[in-house]
Amino acid sequence: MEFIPRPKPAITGNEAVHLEDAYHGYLDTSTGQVKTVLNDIDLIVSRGEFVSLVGPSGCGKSTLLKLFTGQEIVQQAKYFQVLGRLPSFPDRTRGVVFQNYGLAPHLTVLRNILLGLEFQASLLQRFSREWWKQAKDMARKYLDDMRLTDASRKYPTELSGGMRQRVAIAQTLITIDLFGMPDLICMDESYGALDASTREDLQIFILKLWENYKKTIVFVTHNLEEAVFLGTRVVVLSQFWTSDEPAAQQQGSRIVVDIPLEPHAMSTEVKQTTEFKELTKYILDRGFNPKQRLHVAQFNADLRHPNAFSSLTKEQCASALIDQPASAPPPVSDSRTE
Amino acid sequence: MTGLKRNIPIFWGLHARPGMVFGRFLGFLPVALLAGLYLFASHARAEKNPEDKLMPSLHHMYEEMKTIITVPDKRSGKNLFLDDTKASLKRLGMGIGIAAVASYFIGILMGMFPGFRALLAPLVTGLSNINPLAILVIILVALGVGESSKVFLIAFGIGIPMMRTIAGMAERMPNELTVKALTLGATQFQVLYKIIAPQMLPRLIDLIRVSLGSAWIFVIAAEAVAATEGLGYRIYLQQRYMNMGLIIPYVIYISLLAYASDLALLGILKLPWFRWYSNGDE
Repeated sequence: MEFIPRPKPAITGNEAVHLEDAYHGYLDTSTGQVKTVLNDIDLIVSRGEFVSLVGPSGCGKSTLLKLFTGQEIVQQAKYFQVLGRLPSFPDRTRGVVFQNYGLAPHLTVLRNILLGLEFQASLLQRFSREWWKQAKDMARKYLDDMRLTDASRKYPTELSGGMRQRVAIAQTLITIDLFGMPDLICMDESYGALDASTREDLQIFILKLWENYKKTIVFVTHNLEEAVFLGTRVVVLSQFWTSDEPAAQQQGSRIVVDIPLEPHAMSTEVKQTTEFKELTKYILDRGFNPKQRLHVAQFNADLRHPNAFSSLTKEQCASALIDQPASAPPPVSDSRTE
Repeated sequence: MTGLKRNIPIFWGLHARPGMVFGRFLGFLPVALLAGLYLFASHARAEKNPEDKLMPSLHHMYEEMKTIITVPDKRSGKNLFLDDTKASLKRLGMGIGIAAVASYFIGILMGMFPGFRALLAPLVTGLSNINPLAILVIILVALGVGESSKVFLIAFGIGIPMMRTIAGMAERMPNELTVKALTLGATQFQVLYKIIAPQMLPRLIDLIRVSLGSAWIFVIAAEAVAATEGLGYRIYLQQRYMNMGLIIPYVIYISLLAYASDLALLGILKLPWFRWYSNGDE
């Protein structure tokens, strides 16, 4: 296996996320040492991409997302921009959909959906009966779209998981429609708590939303099928890798798979095709197997997305010429279009 | 259907089901027993010594209460029972009101904003460890024997622990909620008054309910030390005459008032406004 450094793609200014040489960790209070979670992450996401982010438990998927939304501040990075600037604390340029807690429990569904509008309303509008009437009419349109018409006066605790998730999406949707914000939507295991059929409904739904608005979506999920079905690109973050560095520096997760996917077919039937299954198996082999740790030089050679790049040093790959256990060859670009 | 029936015990064991009627009867039993015991003892003592003051009869207590409720005081011409009630409830209400407002606002600020927390948490923790009754004398010297010292004792006594609790609750609010609001375009102030503060309101009411017991302790204690009217004052005044005939009904009356105020607060929580709080499953 040859050592092939992957060059950085040309920067066009059209990046939603641009992260280079990023390290992030936590202070482990029991040992007093910093535990690295993200190890040398290089990631460029163009605007309009639908990135599925998967990885084993504890690999730092959610942490990476928190860096994008501004909930956490990256500890070390050569370059970090989200939507053209260093991400500050959470604001309306970057939306987020959580698995839980996204909804204000003390507000009805209607009022929850109105939140984005209310936050932008001027003092005058907030006291105007007319404004409220218009706003509520508008929110009802979204309720109808979301098949939540009957639930408008209910509180979040009175809803099923799928309904709550639809409300959470509607909250973000109404702000996109009215203000063109957010440009980047981070979904943190949003569908984790849903049953299979609700999940498929909402998968189709988010795809339609993405087609209509062409916003950038980073979708963190545990479910490989979901990842491959939804994304235009699958990024696998995994702590199961090896290099020629001392063991102490081999902590944390790296991007071990980064593959482009063809545009979506709007049918969940593609999940049954052989290509689809091979792809999920490939991802499973590469990223989720603690017994078969791939060498950095090898998986870096296999990063296939045009935006994928990595900044390896010769030291990390000194033994890269030694034979590595050959893994299944990456499948050829899947043909999932109808 | 034979063979499916099980013997369900009505009293003994883990699986007992006392049922509606028998359950009520069970609850009534110890109360009736104690009341009966009292009446018996009171009767026995009265037979021995008709002037007995320790355990007055029901009739005696009734007469005492009737007098204080219906007959105005000879010296001042005022209705003592009504004035006592008014005075005590006013002190209680003002004390609780001040404690509630202060703990609500300062508690939320401390819970939400780490800067405020760092600034105030050590002070509030320190103050909460001071026994309010231990500094009652200081309060009396500093604020005089008027209303302000009594109100202050109640407000301080329940307000500081409430403040700590509210701060803790606001701090433990799921961070996701704040982040979500910010990404929807909320300012920090909007997060405070649209997301966090409304959610703390029913919790505050719950907290007042818990604090009611202490609040009543402080009212009675303050009135016992320095007052010219009030339910606690009356009790301690009657102590000089060993007038149990009035003291016992007063104690019962105070207990009923405390129970009623608790029910009133519970009623507020049952309003449709707080439906999300009372039927929450999270």
